[in-house]
Amino acid sequence: MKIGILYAGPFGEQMINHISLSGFADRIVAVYELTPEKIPGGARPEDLWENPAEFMPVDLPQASCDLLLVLGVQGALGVFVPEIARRWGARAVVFAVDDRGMVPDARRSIEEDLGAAGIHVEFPEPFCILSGSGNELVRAFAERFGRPVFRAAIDPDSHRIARVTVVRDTPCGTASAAAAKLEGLPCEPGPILKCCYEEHHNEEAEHCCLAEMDPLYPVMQEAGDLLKDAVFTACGMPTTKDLIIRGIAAAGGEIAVDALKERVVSPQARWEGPEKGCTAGRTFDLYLAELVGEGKVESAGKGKVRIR
Amino acid sequence: MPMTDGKEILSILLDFKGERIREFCRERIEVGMKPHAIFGELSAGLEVIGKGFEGTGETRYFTSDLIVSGRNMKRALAILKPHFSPRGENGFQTSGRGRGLVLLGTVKGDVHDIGKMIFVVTLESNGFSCIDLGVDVDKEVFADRVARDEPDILSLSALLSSTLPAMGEVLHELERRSLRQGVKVIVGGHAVTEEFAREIGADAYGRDAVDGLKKCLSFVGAGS
Repeated sequence: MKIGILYAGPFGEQMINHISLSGFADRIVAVYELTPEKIPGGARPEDLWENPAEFMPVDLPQASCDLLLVLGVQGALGVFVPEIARRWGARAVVFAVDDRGMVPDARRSIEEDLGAAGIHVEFPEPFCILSGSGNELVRAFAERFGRPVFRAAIDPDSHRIARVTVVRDTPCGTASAAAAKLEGLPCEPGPILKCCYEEHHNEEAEHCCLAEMDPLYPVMQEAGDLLKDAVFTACGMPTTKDLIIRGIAAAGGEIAVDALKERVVSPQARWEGPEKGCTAGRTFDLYLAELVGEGKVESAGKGKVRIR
Repeated sequence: MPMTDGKEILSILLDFKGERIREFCRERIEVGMKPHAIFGELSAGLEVIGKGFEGTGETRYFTSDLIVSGRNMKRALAILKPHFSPRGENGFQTSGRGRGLVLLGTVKGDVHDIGKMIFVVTLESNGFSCIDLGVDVDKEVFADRVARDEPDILSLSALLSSTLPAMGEVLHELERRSLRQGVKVIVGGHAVTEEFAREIGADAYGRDAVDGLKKCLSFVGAGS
């Protein structure tokens, strides 16, 4: 699989750096920094809508790839993506959205343009939510990068984490950075949460999450929740999904979604309290939808859910 | 003197690997440039990124830009700090309490401190003595240290709006322990507004480091 990348800023650099160093360097055939300064004639992003091909950056290299990754590019420049994908012969596009500024203004028309050209597109939000896909190219990429998955071996005598294997890394590398630090820790929530927090949220950490953290758009918090629950799953500890099920059971088998959310989601940026599983409402929404999809929970009507 | 334009400063601040910022600082120190001047150049770049992040600048910047530029600014401060004169620019001794003792910290739940670090440098450069309690600081710790160190000023910082209530809790804790009267409280950070500062009963709001310095100078009777 040949990968082409459109990127901008430190967000894009971090991803390219980690993906390259994780054994994908020889698959990356083209990297192009797509920023507003590259638009010829001083045109503004809003001028691009009608005919983006007319404003195509003149220094865009020629390339041929299968999968096109769009990393950290301003949403307004997303209109260039269909044309670049066509020129580079891409058959699938992954357009990462980790910040409101990266949300493409013309998402629907991008989807339509790419669809008309027979090019599959996905907009993972955040990038590290990417897992399975109906598209073989995205699926192949997501086998290595996306929603974190670990395998952990626990020493039965010391009850410490003996070994952690990263099955699927986050594109930014937080998962493998955390895995290295998890080995040797007691298999208990406190030290594990501290490790996840320090590797994921701490800006000093090399692979820290660079996604938006505004409480109105808590993508960084969601990414952190995914990491924490992946570690808890591997260590056999109760995950947020388990706490959701427990919350429904504790309420007699049926509960209002809002009340359940209040019970499970921590209002702080940190994971705290035995009943608090995640720090972002959007993580709760994702998990609840997954539990419904898995047939474990169902709607009870009037904004309530029950165990199935 | 090495010349670097604004665009280049931005590019150095946004360098993901952080190698260029070290080179930039060392090169300037070696040719005798004053650390305050270097700090000023970088601060100007940081302000451009901050404005772009808030949507009021020419270029749009993301959270990732804010994080990486903040991280690079910290790297720069680590290099520059030993070169700052122990005597403030205005000739005030910074040892002991200097013009006044300022206790600073980022409130509970918030781990951001680049703004606070810039404020520390600005205060120290102007003759204040500072004790930085770091990030994610409990209200009890703030109150304990106010009781122990008897600072003239307590400076609270927060970037995330979700951590704003923690600022009010610090003030409540000071009131509860009858410590509030003995210390002036200034609040600042991305999430803070002047209105919020009034609401929680802070003595002042610092819009940025320079504005905060003016308020601190007025607290110790030095005017602006």
